[in-house]
Amino acid sequence: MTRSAEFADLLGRLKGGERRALARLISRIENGEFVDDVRSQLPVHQSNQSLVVGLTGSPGAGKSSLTAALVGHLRREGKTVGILATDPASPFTGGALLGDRVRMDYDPADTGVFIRSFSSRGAAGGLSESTPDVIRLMEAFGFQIIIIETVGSGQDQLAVRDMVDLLVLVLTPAGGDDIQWEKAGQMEAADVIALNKADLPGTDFAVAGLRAIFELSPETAPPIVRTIATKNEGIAELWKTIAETAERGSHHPRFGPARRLLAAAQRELRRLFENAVDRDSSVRRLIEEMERGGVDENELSRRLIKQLARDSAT
Amino acid sequence: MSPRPPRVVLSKVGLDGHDRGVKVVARALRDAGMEVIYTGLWQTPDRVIRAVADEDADVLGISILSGAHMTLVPILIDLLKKEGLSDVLLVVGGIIPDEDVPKLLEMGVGAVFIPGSSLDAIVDFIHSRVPAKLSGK
Repeated sequence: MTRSAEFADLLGRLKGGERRALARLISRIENGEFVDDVRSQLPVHQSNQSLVVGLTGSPGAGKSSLTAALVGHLRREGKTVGILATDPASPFTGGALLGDRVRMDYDPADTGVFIRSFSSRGAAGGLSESTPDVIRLMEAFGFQIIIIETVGSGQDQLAVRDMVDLLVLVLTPAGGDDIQWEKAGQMEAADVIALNKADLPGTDFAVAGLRAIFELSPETAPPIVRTIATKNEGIAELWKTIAETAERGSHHPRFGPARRLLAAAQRELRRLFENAVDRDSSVRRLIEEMERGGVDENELSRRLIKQLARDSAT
Repeated sequence: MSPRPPRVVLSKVGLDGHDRGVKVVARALRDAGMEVIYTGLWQTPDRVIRAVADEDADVLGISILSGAHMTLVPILIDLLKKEGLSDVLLVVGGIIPDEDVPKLLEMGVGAVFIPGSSLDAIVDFIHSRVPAKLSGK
């Protein structure tokens, strides 16, 4: 079977609801195969049926437990859920202990849940590069909700945010003193904040501290929901808040599917650029001209962009 | 295109609550560059096979210290076959009497590692068998 025929076969079976095809295709994408096929045949578009939710937070915040609780709630509401749980790979050995699945209490006979453990495979930022492509596969399979669970910190959270419709940040009251709450960057990427382990001392103080951060711009302040994942408390409220935020925000041009679309276009542009630099001899000539002093870097940039536009038009 | 790291599901099936050994193996496999999915204690065969299928694992490692291996392994092999997962490498570890080892191998288990087995031996075995499978995929 040719490569494109093989992809067509797997994709057809995936769209037909075959789990095996989904599991196998995810592996192939992780290996770097079929990436172009996925991107061209499964475009990110506004009218897709799935809500893609990112869940990030420090290790120990309770992300896996919260995901498990949310899945239980969603299944009781009759929604199908696909979960992608990412753990970091060792930068030295490339190996990884993928320990999120162990926290999920799933019924093996329940075909409405699909859990896949991902290693970051050494990608900077702790998120596997295949993640956006695997999300497209899961959307094509037809899950109503897709949860992307990852450690993510600081910049990594911005990377996740561009791949999902909505980002939930999981914090705990034990996360530090009042100075910690003032550290921006982490918080700003979040669309919803889940304050987990809300039975611990310091919860009210934590909520007050979080609200104080957003005092100056209350209209962009993310809602804060208290949860105790291990006791299944606050879960229904968390989901209600997620759904309402997704609904409310979906009209903003930079939110949800639009954000994903723009991020996907940006990734594609970067890829085209890198391909051009690697392969295009006229790009090489431009660089040589710059090195000889014939053209400065601003001029080089403009000509590169024109070159890229010409390349993509052919 | 570089081969991906072997994906290994490690499980403890049935009424066996001792997980120190399987966690040591998990760490050794991780340090050898593999992706290890530990499914935890007290798993049913159905849950284990579901994990193997959805995670598209190359290897299923079962740790059994309860003596129930002659009951559990055939059930697992049967489920693997039913789900079209017969090419998954099955490795068993734990308290396995010598006379049961050849029986397990005959059933289709790839290798049995009893107490005293070196972690290197386990790692090397998996590395020797999994790349051959990858090229066939």
